[in-house]
Amino acid sequence: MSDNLQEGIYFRHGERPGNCWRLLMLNVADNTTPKGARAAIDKVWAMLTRLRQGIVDDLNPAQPRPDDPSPVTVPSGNLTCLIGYGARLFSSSAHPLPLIRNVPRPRFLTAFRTVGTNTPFRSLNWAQPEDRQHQDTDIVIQFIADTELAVNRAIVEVSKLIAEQGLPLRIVTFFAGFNRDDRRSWIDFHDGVNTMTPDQRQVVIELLNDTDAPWLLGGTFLAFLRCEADLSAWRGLPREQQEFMVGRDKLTGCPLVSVTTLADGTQIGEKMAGCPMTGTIPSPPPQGYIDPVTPADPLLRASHIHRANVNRTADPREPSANRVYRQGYEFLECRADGRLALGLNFVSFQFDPKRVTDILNRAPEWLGPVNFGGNPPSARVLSLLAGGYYAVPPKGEPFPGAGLFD
Amino acid sequence: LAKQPGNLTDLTGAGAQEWDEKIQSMHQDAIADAQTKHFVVQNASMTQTPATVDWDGVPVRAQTCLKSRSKAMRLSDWTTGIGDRGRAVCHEEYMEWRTVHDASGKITRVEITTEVQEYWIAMARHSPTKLLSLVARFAGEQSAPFQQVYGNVNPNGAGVTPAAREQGFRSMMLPPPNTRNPPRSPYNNGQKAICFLYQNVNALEAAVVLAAFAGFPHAAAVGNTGQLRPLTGAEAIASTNQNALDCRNSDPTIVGAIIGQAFNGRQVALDDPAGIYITNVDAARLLRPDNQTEAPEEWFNLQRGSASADGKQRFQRLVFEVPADLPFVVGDLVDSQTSETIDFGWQVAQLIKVGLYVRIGGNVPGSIPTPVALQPVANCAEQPGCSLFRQAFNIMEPPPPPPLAESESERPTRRASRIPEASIE
Repeated sequence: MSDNLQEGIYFRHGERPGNCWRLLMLNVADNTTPKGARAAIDKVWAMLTRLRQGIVDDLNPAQPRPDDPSPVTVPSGNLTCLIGYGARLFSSSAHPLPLIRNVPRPRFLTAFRTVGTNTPFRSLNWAQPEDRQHQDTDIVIQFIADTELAVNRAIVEVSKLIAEQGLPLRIVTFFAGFNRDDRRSWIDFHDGVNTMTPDQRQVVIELLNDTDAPWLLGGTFLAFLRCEADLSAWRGLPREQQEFMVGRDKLTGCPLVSVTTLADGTQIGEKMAGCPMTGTIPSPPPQGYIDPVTPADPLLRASHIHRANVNRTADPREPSANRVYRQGYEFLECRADGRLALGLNFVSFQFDPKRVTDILNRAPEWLGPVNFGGNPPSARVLSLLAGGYYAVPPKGEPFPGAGLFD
Repeated sequence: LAKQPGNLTDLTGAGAQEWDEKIQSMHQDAIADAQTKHFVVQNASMTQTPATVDWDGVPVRAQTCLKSRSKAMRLSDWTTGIGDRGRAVCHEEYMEWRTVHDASGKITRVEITTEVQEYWIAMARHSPTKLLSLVARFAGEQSAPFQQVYGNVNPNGAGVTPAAREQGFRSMMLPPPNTRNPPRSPYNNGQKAICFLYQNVNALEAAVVLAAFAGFPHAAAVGNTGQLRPLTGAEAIASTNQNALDCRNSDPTIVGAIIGQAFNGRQVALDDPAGIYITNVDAARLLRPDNQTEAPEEWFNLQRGSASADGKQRFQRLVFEVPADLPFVVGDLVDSQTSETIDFGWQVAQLIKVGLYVRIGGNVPGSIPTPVALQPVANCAEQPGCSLFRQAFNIMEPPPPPPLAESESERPTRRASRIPEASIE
């Protein structure tokens, strides 16, 4: 299997993503020609290529003094850069002077709806307008590195280059995220327990055999959902209810496999046999721990881990499996009024963004009827601050997707 | 007695009895052939709400083999003077549909069915009057002439046996044997109506046999950990004796789901009433022409089923159309996920999930996961079966003639001459 996927998707054997994440959102300025957009992105990408080698342009001037050291390098932090393109780039209303002239928009590359009820997904809905951070953008660049400095510096260098050279690009915003070494999420449960093998991941990620979008062959789609968690609502639930909603024991991460109903009607979730009794994910974890078989009890089938992966024994490449390769980063920030905003930057890669939509909208067994897990109506824990789908072309010169602007 | 698909009651008396016997024998034969202990007939110990095993109803193999969703959409709606040929070639996911167009070519209605042919054959044998009435209703007609449903057999004629009715019904409402052509009857080849799943691969018996052959605790080793995991559907189809075809939406999903439960040592059964059901309709995905207002659920008219005591609906038919008093039709609606207008039945069919309801039972004594030597799974885009889709597409849209070779195209046009250019062969 060939591998022309851009860096920044850490699916290969032995790869571990860095701890720090940024998603830089860019728009192409109005009335820019395709040629102008291509030249601008080319310059940004070339600068980022140097930056990945630790070369900062301002520290390596084009006209150095005679006694300047050369080259001057800084720690790169193992920076990786990935570029993706949104539906806006193809939009004639956003770009009356079309930027993309000879390439059709991939059919499922569309902007998230912001109007109407139950948007953008059936039960995962937008946050209140005053809290929303969402904007459709032409371009995203994902930065991942080991250090905060490396990802922040990448954004600053892009900004400097745009200003210095008057590039027809505009920074719309950026989002930040960090990795957790406890492998848990803000709701305290383990996250990202279920994993695929590297081969399975590539099958899930890489777009192949699609003549409708030849420029994307060997590439993928990035799904970005900035999900805010309502800790107050979550912590208001008793531990047992939280566990039924998640489908795992809160402390050990053990999957619940059956339900015992006591004489007084109390329901107790039973953990899988032989489950480890520590708070960390065992290595290697028991197979039933990673990927528990669909339980007979409908209460457990309604839990988050089963709703998010209903057809568990379908092969990952099968459409009915709806598998995606997740690479999420948590976030924490403070709003102007002092309220904390925290949650997960859900980032996934898949050859078909419809899979993400399907997981979130499909009913009755998938996540469509519920906001997070359990039987409807269940507690609302998550809301969406921002999000979108982006086409991620394969590696290419001078930059991935350059052919779009021909 | 076994319940009738969708909790319908079209069959009574001998018909209902025969349906029960059909379900029993279908299961017994499949279980005996497969020699499974895990796939069983539903029994009294299976008290919990059934689980849903569902999948996309659109024929994914057509898309995979043609390497193009747009080509697959065109092929799936292909119709000729003999009926819906695209349906005969493509619709293999236990869901078949027809599209109705207005004079301008816009889609005005999409009709989708998951009704199994065995049930209609039972009706044809025992309830011909009811069946003809149903056929007429589906076609929007006052009545349906029996000749177009039963051929030269008058089903209500004196002394006509159920076997004779079945023979006549099959000759009209099912595809001619050994062909990939639609049925002769306009009432089930899409010209006037669509009544039930006519493809043999979409028969209920095919699903039962498929599930029975999957009813084993097939397992694969997890690296070198000494642990086992259940085989996926695709792995099982490649590596074990299955009555299934990989690369469909349905087959590997069903196979994987059954194996998963068998791996856990559990019994599995099709829920009574056995049938193929519409499990979900993503109605909100379609927008009115204003590109903002969602199409209301009422426009998706679900029929031919009702809920069981478990609360789960068992619909088997869907008619999607815009009310006549509105100034637009289905073809003017917009798919919010793609921004496309609705030009193909596929675009409505893709909103539909279809599936089976299965009961999970008690443990099978002595069941232990059995490791299997894994064979490579199919390369779906290059599987031998792809040739059928490619051939059909090339008949529907013949490829342009190959361009002239460069040397020929660059050859200058010759002047008229008295000298003959070539001899006649």
